[in-house]
Amino acid sequence: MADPREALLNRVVAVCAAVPGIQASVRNRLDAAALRRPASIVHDGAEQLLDAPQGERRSRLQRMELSPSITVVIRGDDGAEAGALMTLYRSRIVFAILNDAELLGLVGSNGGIRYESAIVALPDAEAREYRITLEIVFTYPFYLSDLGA
Amino acid sequence: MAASTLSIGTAPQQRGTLIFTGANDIGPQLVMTLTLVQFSPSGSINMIGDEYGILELTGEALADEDGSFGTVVHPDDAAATPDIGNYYVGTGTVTWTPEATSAVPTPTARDLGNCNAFEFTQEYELLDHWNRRGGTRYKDFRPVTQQSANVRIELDEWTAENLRLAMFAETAGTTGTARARRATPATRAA
Repeated sequence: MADPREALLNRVVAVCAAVPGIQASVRNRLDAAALRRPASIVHDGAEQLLDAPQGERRSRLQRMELSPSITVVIRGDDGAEAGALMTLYRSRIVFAILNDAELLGLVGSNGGIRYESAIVALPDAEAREYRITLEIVFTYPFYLSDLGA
Repeated sequence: MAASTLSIGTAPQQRGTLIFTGANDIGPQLVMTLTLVQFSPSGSINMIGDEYGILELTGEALADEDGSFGTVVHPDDAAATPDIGNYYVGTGTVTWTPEATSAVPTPTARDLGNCNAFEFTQEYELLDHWNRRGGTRYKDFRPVTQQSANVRIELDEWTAENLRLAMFAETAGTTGTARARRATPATRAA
């Protein structure tokens, strides 16, 4: 099996791209090409140790938590409809990720996918754009041997 | 969908077969079968709280005539050590089959739903023997005089069937209340 971290992150980008209405889905970019909207921007975020077998000294097997952030950028006029639009894409993306068979397969039965938070940033008055950032945590088994595959 | 009214305490004998089937990715997928388990009242059932409610059940695994409390099946009898493939993080399903009775339909295995814990504990009682023939006593014999096994499970899902198990209950009206049964001479004689 290839590096599960990379596989998870790539799949998150693909799942977001397939969400109805999303015009662009990119990873680790400041913005989507040609300023297409609505756009989802996936940032890799942190990968942290969750637990490891007692006495294991070489990280050959342990469980990790990967917490990428998914920012959805939308356009709004006077902001009246922005809240409903952000809720719409939040719902679609969270539903798509938590039900994606490939992601569930990557985390396996000893892992999991957990919807952690949604934060709306203060809008930029001149840009007339709104951003909601979703944090979803993936718990998965880390095998050192996967890194050499 | 209809409501189910359970009469608490009317089925104090909850005996049956408890089976854990491993579904873990990390480590071997074990299957443990406790052939005859008798549940007893254990933890309190909390109807109010800020945490997810659990139904905790503890029981004694009863031995068969050969002294076995059940079986555990390992999927690979050739698994060698050392190998990180032998490390274990448990997850899996738990099923309950009430003890065979003359009931119709015959009881079948029922998935207990999400289970937070499945703990199996063995207890031995030993009788130490001491050699006192010298200035210092030596322990020279330690036979097992009795052994028992316990199991504890935590159920997440508050279905009528799980409540029936956790509250030692029967459906109200089907068999009468425990008090009514106690008051019936025929039942007492049986």
